[in-house]
Amino acid sequence: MPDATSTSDHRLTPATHRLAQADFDALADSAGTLAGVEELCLAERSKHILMIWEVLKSAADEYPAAYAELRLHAAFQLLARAQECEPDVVAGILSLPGVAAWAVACTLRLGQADCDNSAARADLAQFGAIAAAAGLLTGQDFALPVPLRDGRLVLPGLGPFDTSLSCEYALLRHSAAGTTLVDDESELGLPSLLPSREQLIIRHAGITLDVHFDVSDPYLNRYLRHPLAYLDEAGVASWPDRLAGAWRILASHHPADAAAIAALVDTVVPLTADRATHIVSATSTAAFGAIATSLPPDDVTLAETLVHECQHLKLCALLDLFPMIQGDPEGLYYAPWRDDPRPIRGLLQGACAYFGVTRFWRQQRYYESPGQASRGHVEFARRRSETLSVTRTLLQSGGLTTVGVRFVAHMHACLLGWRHDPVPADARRMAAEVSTDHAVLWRLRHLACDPDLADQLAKSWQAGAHPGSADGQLTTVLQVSPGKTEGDRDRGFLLTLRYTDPERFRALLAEESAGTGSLSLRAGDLALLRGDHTAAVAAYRAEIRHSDRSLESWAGLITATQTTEGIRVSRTLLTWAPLLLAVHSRIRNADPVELAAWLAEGYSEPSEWPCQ
Amino acid sequence: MADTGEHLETSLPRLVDMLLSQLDAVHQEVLRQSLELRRDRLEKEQEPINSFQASI
Repeated sequence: MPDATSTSDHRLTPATHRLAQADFDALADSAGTLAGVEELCLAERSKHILMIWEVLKSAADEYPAAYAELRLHAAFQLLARAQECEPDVVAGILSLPGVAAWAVACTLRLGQADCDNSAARADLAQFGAIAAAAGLLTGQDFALPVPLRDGRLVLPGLGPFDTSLSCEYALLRHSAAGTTLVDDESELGLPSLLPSREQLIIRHAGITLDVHFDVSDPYLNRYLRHPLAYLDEAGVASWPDRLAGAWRILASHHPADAAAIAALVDTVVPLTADRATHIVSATSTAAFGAIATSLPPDDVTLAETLVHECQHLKLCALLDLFPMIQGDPEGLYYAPWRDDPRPIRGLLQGACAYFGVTRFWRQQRYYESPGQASRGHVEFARRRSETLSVTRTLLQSGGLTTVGVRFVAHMHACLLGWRHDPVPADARRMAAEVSTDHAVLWRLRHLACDPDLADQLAKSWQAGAHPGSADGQLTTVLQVSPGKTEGDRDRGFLLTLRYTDPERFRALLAEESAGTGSLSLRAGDLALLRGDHTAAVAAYRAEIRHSDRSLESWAGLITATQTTEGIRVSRTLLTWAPLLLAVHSRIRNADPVELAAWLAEGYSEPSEWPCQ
Repeated sequence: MADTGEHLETSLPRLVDMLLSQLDAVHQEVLRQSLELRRDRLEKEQEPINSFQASI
């Protein structure tokens, strides 16, 4: 056995996984080297084996009746026998995301003090199906109990097989004579060739993508949204073309990312989006090798999604090898891609994913058609700035281990190096507006400032006195507030649509301006979206002063003033937004820009925005 | 994790190189310790990383 040494009592102590420093660094600041990515895949397979071992040990110790009845020892022996015959086939099965997700589910369930026996039994039975899949693929003779769910047998790596049986468990027999599924009352012959999972193999520019669509494995139904029950005709027709288009983009212009995706992604779980106008995608740390996504509207968005989710897969595997978070930090932070405050663990995942997205658009913007080039420039400028800010926050948080600091510092250094990459002025402005609008709205919603300070400033304003002075960061308390309502999303939605789909943006804006649209927009919003910042500021000022004092109006005002007001007032509005809102709520009819100008007399801008 | 200069070492046993039939002979304490190190993460990170919810 390679890389293993014998202990004095003849037990084996295996070597441990290791990663070359250069490969680790490349996984941080690029798509990664092939050696690095392959080592991650091997490490994940070791983790899966480790969990299978634990599940079987726990089952034998704690559920001896189920262990015997389900013939789990025989199932393990079958798997071992199949491995000795065809190790690559069994390696493929042990690497499957559905097998990983099953092992995680079992490991957690068997570790529960109040574990339900019937639930544990149902989970344990799936090991029979895993071993049976290996047995079928390698031509072993066997007879094992396997679980059925609504008559469906799920054999990892082979796919779903629908039967007419109504029992929960049946005996799967395989020999040279054939394959049969037996329950108490009937014996059902199975065709020798079981149906495959939907498989797509796409080759372009010398790189091959070989993925499966899986909507049947119950252990992959873990993305909080239900996968499509089946790939219907429209789905079958749409996915291959879309995936082929995305693969052409990746293999031609992003070969390192394409190689990493080809090595890491085995399974795509198709999701249903909440609304036709949204795309959702997700990754699970418990299902290495799978990504879940709804069908993106175009090839380049699917290419971006694959890069994004692949970054999560890489980081999930790296986190299995190297702890990057120090202890169990409780702090919550601003993530530009989320409306809710995020723990450092989530912030790190987001930074890694959007670092990949930034890298993708840094290249891709030069390959877009003239009509779409602006989108690429905006995406690059927006994600570059946002990810740079988050990597800085992570490095300042004190919540990363030495390895975590190394990982984030590599991304941060790259982003710093990209700061001077040219971006057209119009794209820079659109990127800044959509980022600012989101960040300000988040701060107004989730940060509360000292009420005594707000009282004192309100009194000073009303007395015509100087505001006093403050230097440094605004002291705030994080309050996790409810999320946005549907109407609140409309301005942000259109600010994004402005560069992702300019034609549709113009049509919607025309409808809204004519009063025939269905979105929830203010007069200030319409002016801001038209690019008339002076009119937007005037409208927001009037709205805030006289009627609409909503957070959305304040955020719109602050976004628009970044180009209309002098640096001192605009930066004061940006920096001290939660405090200005609190003071204004105490004096009501003050003009918000005049209030900011007054505050700017004593409140200087901190060198950095607060981390929160 | 240890930094040995050229490589970053981990505590994850390299099980991919051995036959499953050999697992019973593997130092079980090594396996248990390795799993315990990861159980905490398994429990905490059960929620999917809903990473991308963009308007289109």
